[in-house]
Amino acid sequence: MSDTIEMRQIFCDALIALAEKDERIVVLNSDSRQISGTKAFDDAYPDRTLNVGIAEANLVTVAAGMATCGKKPFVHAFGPFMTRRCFDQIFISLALARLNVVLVGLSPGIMAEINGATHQGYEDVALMRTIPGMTIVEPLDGIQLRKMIPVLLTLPGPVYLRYFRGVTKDVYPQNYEFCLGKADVLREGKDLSLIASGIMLEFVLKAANILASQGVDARVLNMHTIKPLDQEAVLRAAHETKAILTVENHTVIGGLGGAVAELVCEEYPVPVKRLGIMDRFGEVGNMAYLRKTMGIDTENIVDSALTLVRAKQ
Amino acid sequence: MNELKDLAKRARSIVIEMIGSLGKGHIGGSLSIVDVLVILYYEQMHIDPSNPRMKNRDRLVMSKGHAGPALYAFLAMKEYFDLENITTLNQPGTILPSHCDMNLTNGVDMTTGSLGQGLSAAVGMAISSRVDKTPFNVYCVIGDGESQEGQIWEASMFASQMKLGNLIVFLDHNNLQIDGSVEDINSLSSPSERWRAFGWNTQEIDGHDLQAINEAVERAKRCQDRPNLIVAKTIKGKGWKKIEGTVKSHSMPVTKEDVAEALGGLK
Repeated sequence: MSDTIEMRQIFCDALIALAEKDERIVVLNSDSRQISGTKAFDDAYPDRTLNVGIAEANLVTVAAGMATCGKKPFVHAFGPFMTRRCFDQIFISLALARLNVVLVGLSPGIMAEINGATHQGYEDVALMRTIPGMTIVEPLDGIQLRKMIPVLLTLPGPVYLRYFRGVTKDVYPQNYEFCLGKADVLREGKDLSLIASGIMLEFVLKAANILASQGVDARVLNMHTIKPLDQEAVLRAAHETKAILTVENHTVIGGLGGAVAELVCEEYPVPVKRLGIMDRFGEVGNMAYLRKTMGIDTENIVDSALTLVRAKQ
Repeated sequence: MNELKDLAKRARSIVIEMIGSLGKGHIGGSLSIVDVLVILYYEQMHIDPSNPRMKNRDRLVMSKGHAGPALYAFLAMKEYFDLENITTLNQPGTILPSHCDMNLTNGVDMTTGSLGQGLSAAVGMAISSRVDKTPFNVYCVIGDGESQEGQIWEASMFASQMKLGNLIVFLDHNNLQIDGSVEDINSLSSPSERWRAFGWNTQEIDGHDLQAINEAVERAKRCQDRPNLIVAKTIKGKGWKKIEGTVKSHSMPVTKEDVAEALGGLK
């Protein structure tokens, strides 16, 4: 159903519907209203929306002040400016203060495309992971995004939501139920496990099909909640498939791959390979070019999986 | 006013004993803001210590978060918590970390300590009052050294844009920071002019003149179409003669002998 609707419209429609019943919800932008696609919310609830202009530090801390008064702010900026630009504000005024504010990081990583190295934040998850009490989520499709939002409002602390604002293919059925911190098995398999989130799953699922045609049975996990990590699902994957390949639109340092590697290394060591952005800056290019250049395309997922399975044997 | 002067003396003695019990601390910037706080807590703020989360209470954000001890003196005097806690300042497990923590200390409205952030939080509170149609005032104390943080000016611009008449900010203008005088390091000269240029209603007063402080708040409350800045010209370490106006008073050792001497001077 949502195959033709942009994720940001699904997000905005969901907020409008929730806000009708929950008067605590407010929307804050940093000259990001066009990008976040939340103009319809502003039109529906003009008294519950703010645009602070290009001032992310102020954006986050104004939201913190509103949260102390019982508000549930949804705060928007480009991924890198939502996180690295105002890391201290998030750390002190949101996380230490234990305030439930949803930070929406728009177009993280390769999604920033031709905006290049300045806007391609590949470190947002790594930064947010170091903050105690932070929850990090990345939805795969519009259905998951819609189911996720109400859950985020029930948490005792801040949330970082990174997502692709464009059109995605539906993967989940309409009756899907989102369970925070519980990875979804998109495909069962016994030869290795592919763990990913968000936009990378499309290519991971394609890779799994190719692997199947070559006799390799890959399990695919959607780790939609990167923090807290579903440790049980990761360790079960390690036990049952004996090899793990992580794929992320993010630096290999400290993100999903880092989280998985840390856990597996300590609890049940099996071969782990992290596919993601190596220790480098971004560059201009469309997503297809960047996937290829950064080594997170279907072809490299297949090759890495085969290498990993061979190493296991 | 005599009663308020006695309360200010009592608060100063609590600050000195509190920091003395630890043996060191941010005594200068705590003592400089005591007179402003006595007016806020005893004359101006609509609060109920028995109901510290009251929805329509006035808020106070100590944006210069290292002045926690000054705030704690008043919270103790108002019985938000037991006075005995003051000897636990910065001890393991304390409810009184010297930088303010809203989750640890009853009566603290915002966690602060990383300079420049508290004013933005106060702006968010003032906006919430408007969104909820629940009138209350938000008071915020910022430092002059703190005003070197860019975020102060982000918040200043936006408060003005939002015409937050329910926001009253005190600038604790003692002109000292850790490394020396604010003027020598990165000057905040003519703060009133700067803030007026940002669209604020400004006043300048002697930050140790209780009557002047009270009148300034009254005038600020009457100004509903702009946020209010009150430049409180203060003396760092005010009330303990030996350290008044000294750079070292920002954070310094305070011995038992110092406490005895300082308390003697207050009498």
